[in-house]
Amino acid sequence: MQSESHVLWWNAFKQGDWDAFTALYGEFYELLNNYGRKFTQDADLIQDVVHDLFVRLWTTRARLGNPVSVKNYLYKALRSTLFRKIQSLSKFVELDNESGEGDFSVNFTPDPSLRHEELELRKQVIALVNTLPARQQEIIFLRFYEGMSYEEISAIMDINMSSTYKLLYKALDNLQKVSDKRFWMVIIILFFLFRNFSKKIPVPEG
Amino acid sequence: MINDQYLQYTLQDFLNDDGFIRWMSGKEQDTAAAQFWSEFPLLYPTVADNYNYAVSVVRSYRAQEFWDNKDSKAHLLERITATIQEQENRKPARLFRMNAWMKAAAILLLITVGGYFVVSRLMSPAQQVIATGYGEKRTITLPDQSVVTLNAASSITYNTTWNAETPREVWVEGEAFFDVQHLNRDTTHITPGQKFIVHSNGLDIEVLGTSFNVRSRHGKTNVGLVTGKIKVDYNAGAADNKHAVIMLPGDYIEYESNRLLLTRKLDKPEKLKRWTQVPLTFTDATLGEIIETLQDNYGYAVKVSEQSIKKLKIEGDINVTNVEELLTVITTTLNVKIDQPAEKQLVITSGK
Repeated sequence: MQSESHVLWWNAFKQGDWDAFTALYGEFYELLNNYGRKFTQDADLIQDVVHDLFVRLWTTRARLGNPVSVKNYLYKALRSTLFRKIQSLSKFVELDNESGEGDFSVNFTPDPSLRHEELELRKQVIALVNTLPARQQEIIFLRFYEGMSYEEISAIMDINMSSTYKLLYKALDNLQKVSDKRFWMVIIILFFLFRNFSKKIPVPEG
Repeated sequence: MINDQYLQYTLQDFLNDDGFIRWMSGKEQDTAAAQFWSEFPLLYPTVADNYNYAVSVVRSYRAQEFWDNKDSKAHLLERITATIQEQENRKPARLFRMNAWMKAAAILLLITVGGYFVVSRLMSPAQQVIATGYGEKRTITLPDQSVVTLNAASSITYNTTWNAETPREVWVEGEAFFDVQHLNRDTTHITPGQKFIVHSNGLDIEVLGTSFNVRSRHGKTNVGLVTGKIKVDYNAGAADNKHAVIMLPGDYIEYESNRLLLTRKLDKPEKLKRWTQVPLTFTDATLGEIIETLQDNYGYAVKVSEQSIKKLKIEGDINVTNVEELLTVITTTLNVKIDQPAEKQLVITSGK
């Protein structure tokens, strides 16, 4: 999944090419903000984290390696910078999560081209996912939104492969339990809605 | 070519399959693999139901909001640049520790690099940037005689000389209406110089000769086609995943941060052009859309007493020549009150 321009920019940036550095910023700014937003609603905090991340990238550029995926590398770096920051802030701010890793949440975006029933169903799926513990939500996000492999997820979340399998399994299992069949109702209705559509053009969106 | 492993595939198996997930998120680069997954239910009809479940689960989860925080993008880069500069200034200046030979080499390098920049500056074609202020509108004739109308608070950039070997290219921020000269006479043989490309906020709009409207505000870009045919290239999902749509007259698309939000057919595409003739024009607009135009095109700061009133809609057409008239139309058709505490400031409250 590594794109050629990412590699070119990364190598040039390590040599001290400022334009390549800003190109990387331009390419990943939105994705990093979106990922950061899943952990906290605090927009200023996310800005600070992205700031620290890029400043550190530049100042340590001579020592950086060549990641398999620049995007995944930045995700991992954002995650650890954010957690460190939240931990240092938590001396002042009370966090409701025992792991000190904050919450993980997704918001539903209304798509004007969809019918009312479909909108309702999508909203419900997101609402159900939001009831899961933060780490389980995060793995669902990386898996189904970012479309990452188990290997990529285990690298970003810093857990081994078998824990990654277990965590996703637990998340899906919980989703089933939490919803008391409600989730499966949703899925079954969705299935009927998309049935014809899927047969015709099963092109993934996004 | 039937693989036994798939004959028993459960929902869980699909969700565990890296290839399936890669394809669902639009990241599959291998066309054979993509084709395999799209034809899966035909190849394995016995597990088609599980497949459809899995597609529904992932698709409904993926309908979530993408938070790009674009408004802060430029500002944050400035902040990062400032911090880095500050840190680098604190380091001792290296030049002073160099010996005479190194200094000489450094100076020689400076002269070479400087000379290179001067020469390449002179060699490269000059760029023309035209920008409009709030409430201002301009009509520009491009080097090929194509005509562009630039709406308020917008800008267009292009090279002042165009040649037949390279496509005609322009870069747009804000809103612009294009009437492009058709140079191509033989559709089976299109030379680069006959192409006309508009770049705007992640979209590349490629045309031969047409008229269309491009509007790019707040990270969202929409394109509406009046006549001719255009091809729009965009990134979908993950960056670098190139997609293209071909648009025909009346087609309208909306694009934001790596995805198409909307594609639809307009009833009256010629209305796209109306803003170029009438200063302020709307059709079935919500108060929110009108406020956006006041802010984007006229530089007003608008406050509303509650967000819900932005959803109020004025049915039909509005065609007025100035902001005063527009405000009169709003207060007479909607149940709202508008105060103007200062020039360029408006406060809209519900009820009279």
